[in-house]
Amino acid sequence: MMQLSEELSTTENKISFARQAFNDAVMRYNNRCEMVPSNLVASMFGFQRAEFFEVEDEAERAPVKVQF
Amino acid sequence: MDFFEEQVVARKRTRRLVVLFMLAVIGVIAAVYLLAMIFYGFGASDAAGIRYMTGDYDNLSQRALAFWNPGVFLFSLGSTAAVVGLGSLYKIAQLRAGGPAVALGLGGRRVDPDSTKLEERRLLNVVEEMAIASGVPAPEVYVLDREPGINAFAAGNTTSDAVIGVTQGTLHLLRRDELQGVIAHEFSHILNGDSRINLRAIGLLHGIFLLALIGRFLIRGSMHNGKKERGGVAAIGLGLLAIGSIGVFFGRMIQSSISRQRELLADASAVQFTRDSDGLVGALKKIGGASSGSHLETPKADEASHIFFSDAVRRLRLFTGLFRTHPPLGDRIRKLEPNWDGEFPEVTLPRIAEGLSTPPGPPPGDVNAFAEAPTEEAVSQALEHIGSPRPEQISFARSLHAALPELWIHAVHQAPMAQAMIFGLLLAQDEVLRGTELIRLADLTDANTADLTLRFHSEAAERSSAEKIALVDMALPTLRSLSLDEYERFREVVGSLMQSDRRIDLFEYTLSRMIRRHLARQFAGAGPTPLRFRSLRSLLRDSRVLIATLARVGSRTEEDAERAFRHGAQTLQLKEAAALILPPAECTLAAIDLALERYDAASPALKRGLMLACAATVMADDKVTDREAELIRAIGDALDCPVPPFVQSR
Repeated sequence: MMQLSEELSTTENKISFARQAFNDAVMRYNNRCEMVPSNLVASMFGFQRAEFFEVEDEAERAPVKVQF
Repeated sequence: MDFFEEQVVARKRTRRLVVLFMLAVIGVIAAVYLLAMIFYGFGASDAAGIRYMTGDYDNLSQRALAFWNPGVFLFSLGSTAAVVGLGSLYKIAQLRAGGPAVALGLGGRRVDPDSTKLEERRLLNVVEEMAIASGVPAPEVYVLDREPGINAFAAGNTTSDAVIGVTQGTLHLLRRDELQGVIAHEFSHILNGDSRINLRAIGLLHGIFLLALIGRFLIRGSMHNGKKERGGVAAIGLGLLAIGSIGVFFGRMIQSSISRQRELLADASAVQFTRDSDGLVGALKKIGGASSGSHLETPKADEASHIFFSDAVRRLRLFTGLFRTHPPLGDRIRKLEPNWDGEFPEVTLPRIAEGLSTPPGPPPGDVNAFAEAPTEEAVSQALEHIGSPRPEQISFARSLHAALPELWIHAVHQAPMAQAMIFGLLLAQDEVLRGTELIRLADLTDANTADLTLRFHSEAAERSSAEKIALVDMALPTLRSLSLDEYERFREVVGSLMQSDRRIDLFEYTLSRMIRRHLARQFAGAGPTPLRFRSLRSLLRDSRVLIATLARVGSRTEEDAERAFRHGAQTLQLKEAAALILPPAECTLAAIDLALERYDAASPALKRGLMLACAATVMADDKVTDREAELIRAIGDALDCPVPPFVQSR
């Protein structure tokens, strides 16, 4: 039982940390696109702004309920 | 700051490391030179003094020149360079293997990636989570089993050979979010290139510390050595220690200069990775509150103290400002939690029954494998087959294992349940006594554990003692995985349960002896007993105590006991005078304990003789009672001759 709840919480954490790492990377990239001097290169070669990963659906955002 | 900028900063620090290292070496060379000149220079000045007295003033200027002697200088340069260079090169070559070499050197044990132990599983999961959050490949994980303090380290040349190590205390005392904070901090060191420079520093420092280490070794050696030449060795050791301390001085400065500021950065990155400062703050506060803090036991912690999560070595107050490898705990906490009140929490062990959400249900019905009392044949066969069980014994063991209800099998594999089970086996049969014992138990641990204990106790009532011993045998590996502090508490509870009824019965004694014996090797670091007795004569009294006890356990009347004792004494070929049974007053548990202790140091042939004599004693009345079987197995266990269960051959 404790093993299971440990596995559940680690899985949930891994997902959220992966999303967080992705969003951090997006933020750094976007900042670079707007900052001197890298913005010159970005505009020259047409780098687009990246989108953050977000879940819109309310149902998907709700925490998972576990019952034993 | 950016990842790349951090790496540049780390490179700059390498330069500072080299400069400080050069200073250290120059300092040591100067010291060696000075010392050599004290020996050499005495001669020179004496000569000058004689010349002064004899009126030979012309050569007096040579006395000033005596402070500079190229030969001595070359000698000190060469010898220092050789020692420091060889020491550093040796260590650097050793560290080429990367992080694992460091972890093993500090006494680490690699955590099996498939481990099913809850705490190790949690640690591995947290490491994987942080690997995802920081984008660094998951490193190997090590546990320092013998360290009760709360600390952790990261080491490695690159991200691919990096390792993360945590102490036993970290594993047991921190909550999940706190562990996450600590691990995230270590990941920051790997990511920012700190672990690489730290590793190099260990190599260089080894060379500088080597002189002091040799000096300390010589001084300690001369204390143990014989009287001859003690003074000379000690003097050389003292000299080396004095010279080495210059190296140590600079070495400490190297450590503190490369480590101190990076710790705050790593704390900041840890918060960035976990998006939560409470965990890290909680861990830091627990270090402040824990009895052993973050200090390490291993003497090797000194040269590696800059790679740890928090201060690994106790320092003298005097120089802490200059030599600190880590900013003070309070400063680190205030950076993360500005309105902290300065109070450290008292760190307590997690409760035994914590996390067991539902108490286990009643066991299903089962068959008792010990319906029949064992016969003579069974006993002698069991003794013959010590160390090489026959197929029947193995299949019997299997059926015994199968007959144990699932509850028990489940219990012996879980540390909280296994502890409660042992407590349950030790509870008194008397109802009033049991009540007070339970209250005391609830006091020492918690109400939940006491409940669990009572449950195990009521179910254990139907078990034969052979089954109980089997259960304890199975629970021992689980109990070995307790932390040192948990073990201390466990021992305390066991001790109080045994003594609560003012008398210790044989079963309680057997059980506690098994636990003490098998767990002490793990926790107290006791090695195997050295061989002390080779002849029966020195163990005569001990043999008589053991056989007399065994004879009384299996007999109703004193005459029966005497007859049984004679059987045993004959097997041992004791002389007439010694073949008289000892009075009960001389067969106290203390006497038995002493006898077993002494017999443990006997030669294998003596042990074998005793076991055969025990069997003969038990068989004197052609019956083996449950209690006799239990005692004979206890004696076997104490002597490291595990006796298989007695089986009737069909």
